Amino acid sequence: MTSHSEPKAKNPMVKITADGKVIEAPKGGNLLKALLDNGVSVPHYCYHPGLSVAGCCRMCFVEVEGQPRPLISCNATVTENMVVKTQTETVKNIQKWNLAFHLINHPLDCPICDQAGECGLQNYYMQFGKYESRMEEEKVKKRKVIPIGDHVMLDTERCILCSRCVRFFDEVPKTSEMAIFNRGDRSEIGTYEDKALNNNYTLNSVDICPVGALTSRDFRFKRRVWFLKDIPSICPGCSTGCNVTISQDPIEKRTYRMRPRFNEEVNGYWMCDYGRMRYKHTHRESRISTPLIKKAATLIPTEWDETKHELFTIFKTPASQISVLITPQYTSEDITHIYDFFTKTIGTQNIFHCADSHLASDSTVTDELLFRRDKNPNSQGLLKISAHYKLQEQNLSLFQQKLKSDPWTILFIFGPHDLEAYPEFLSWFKENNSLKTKIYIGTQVKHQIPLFDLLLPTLTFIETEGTFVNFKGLSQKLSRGVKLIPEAKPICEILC
Amino acid sequence: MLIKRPPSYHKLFFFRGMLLGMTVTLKHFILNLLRIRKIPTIQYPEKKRERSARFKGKHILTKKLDGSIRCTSCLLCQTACPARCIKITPSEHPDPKVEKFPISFQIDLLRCVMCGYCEEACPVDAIRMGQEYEWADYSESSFIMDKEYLSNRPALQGGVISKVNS
Repeated sequence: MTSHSEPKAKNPMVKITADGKVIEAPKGGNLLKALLDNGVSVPHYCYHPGLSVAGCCRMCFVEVEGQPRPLISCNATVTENMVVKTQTETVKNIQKWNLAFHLINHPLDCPICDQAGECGLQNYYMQFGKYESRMEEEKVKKRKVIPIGDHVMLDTERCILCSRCVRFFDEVPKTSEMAIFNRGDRSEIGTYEDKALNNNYTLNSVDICPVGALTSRDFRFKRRVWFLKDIPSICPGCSTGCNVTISQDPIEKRTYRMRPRFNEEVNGYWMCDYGRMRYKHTHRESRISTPLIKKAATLIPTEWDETKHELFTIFKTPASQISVLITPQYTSEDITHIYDFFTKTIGTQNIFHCADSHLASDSTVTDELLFRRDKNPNSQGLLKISAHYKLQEQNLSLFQQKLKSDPWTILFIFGPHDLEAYPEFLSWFKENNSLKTKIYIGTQVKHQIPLFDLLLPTLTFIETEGTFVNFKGLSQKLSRGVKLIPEAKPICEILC
Repeated sequence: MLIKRPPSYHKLFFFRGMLLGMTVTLKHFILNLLRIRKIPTIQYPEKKRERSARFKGKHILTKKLDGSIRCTSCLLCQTACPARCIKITPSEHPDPKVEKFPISFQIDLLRCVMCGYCEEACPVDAIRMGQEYEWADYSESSFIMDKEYLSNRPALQGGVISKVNS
């Protein structure tokens, strides 16, 4: 991802010994990375595999045989037959009293800190610290609760000056917005005159912050992290398909945040702020909560049994009068089921898709890092499946033409989960005399709601298992989380 | 299968057991009637037993010296609670030195098992178990105590001030 990424295949693998265990590592590579990759735990704050080496936290000390004194492993290179010891008394002592230095001016406001539960200071104190503080001086007070940008909250008091955020903005989005100001124990991180961070990657600095100095304003005070369960998934925000971890509370049945998951081929360690906010449209309050049916020109909530009965009568109409429109926000499995059901069980060929074949394979990024123009996660998957059924030519513009000319009476719309990706969705849609029944299957619908005769709630990307195909044609798996709407049903249960 | 039963006249022997029981009853009756043994009867609604200082009764939310609520809504009591009876909604405080405070704090007394784990888990002495134990009521909804009731109910006479960490 960055220019500082590790040298890969060109370096020969050599054997080194760490705590008596023989491991293989690339010669000349980073020693700390080699140790961490092979399951040897070494405490560290300032080292991050996606960033350059700073060597300022002084936590990752190890002893190497033949070296006169302990050295920081993040700045050491792997050499053949080196013998590394991470558990000696000297190393443990260094880590313990180094941590004491880090905590000298730390405010210890864990009860109000959002990082509590996944904080580097808490974890390492319990693992390596456990000392009695010998500090007699007053703690240095610094500024707290400074909003920098729409997504990040800064607390300079909690900072341990690892400079990960500073290096992140220097190296990844290359905006260089953060820096360390002042000297000595008054040093603090920040932006110049507390200017707002203005790029699409600000929340990555919150992820890489090992303490609670940078916290997310979106997640602020929402939930303590130990209540959350992590689900590996794929971001539905654009065609890049960044690998993410979704945090859900299984008891409250609510999603709280999305964070990047490492995948070297797709997104590295990062993801954009736009993508991170995509979990919001899965909230209960913005979704269709029950099936709705139109009776006497108003939509009223109904039971699934009644809608099943209604669908059964609809499917009895001649197949040529049934038409279908699919948006590329469903998993490949769902799309296959839709095509399979309408071509084989119903026997209609009027299946249209909203995927733009030029946009879907467009590999240019709008912000020179990850974000792509196509705001659909599965355009490629939809195009591939439609090609398999030989219906790839039936796109949105053809649908709009045929809507005027063809005598369709039934229209199924598989709507987008994320309305921000389709601000204009169905704005061209007008009342048509020949169309008698319009059925909307989806999770969200806004101003177009009076158009439809039947609205059926289905599941979002968080609640379904399946595959998204990204712009490169790479299939990636989504895992199923907690079902957020009890009344919603998967596509395969609605169409059966 | 044949089961050998005792002969029918055996059931007349219950008189012996009954008389033995009656003697025990009679003994206690006489001992108490003549006040030979002094049993500690308390005339309950008029007189009440003294509780130990460690008694775990109805919860109290303590206050700071300035009268605001001490709880920082760290949710540790909610985490420790085995009955899941505590529900806290944290919110942003306008004062950056306070930063976080509970905008709502509810305890469901019907779920509570009076274990006192919340009191132990609290890092700032914000929740205590009080002395009250009489809370019979007519409707279930009246057992859900809110922030105002927990910190300011009439029985607390203006609330409890905690001086820990202040």
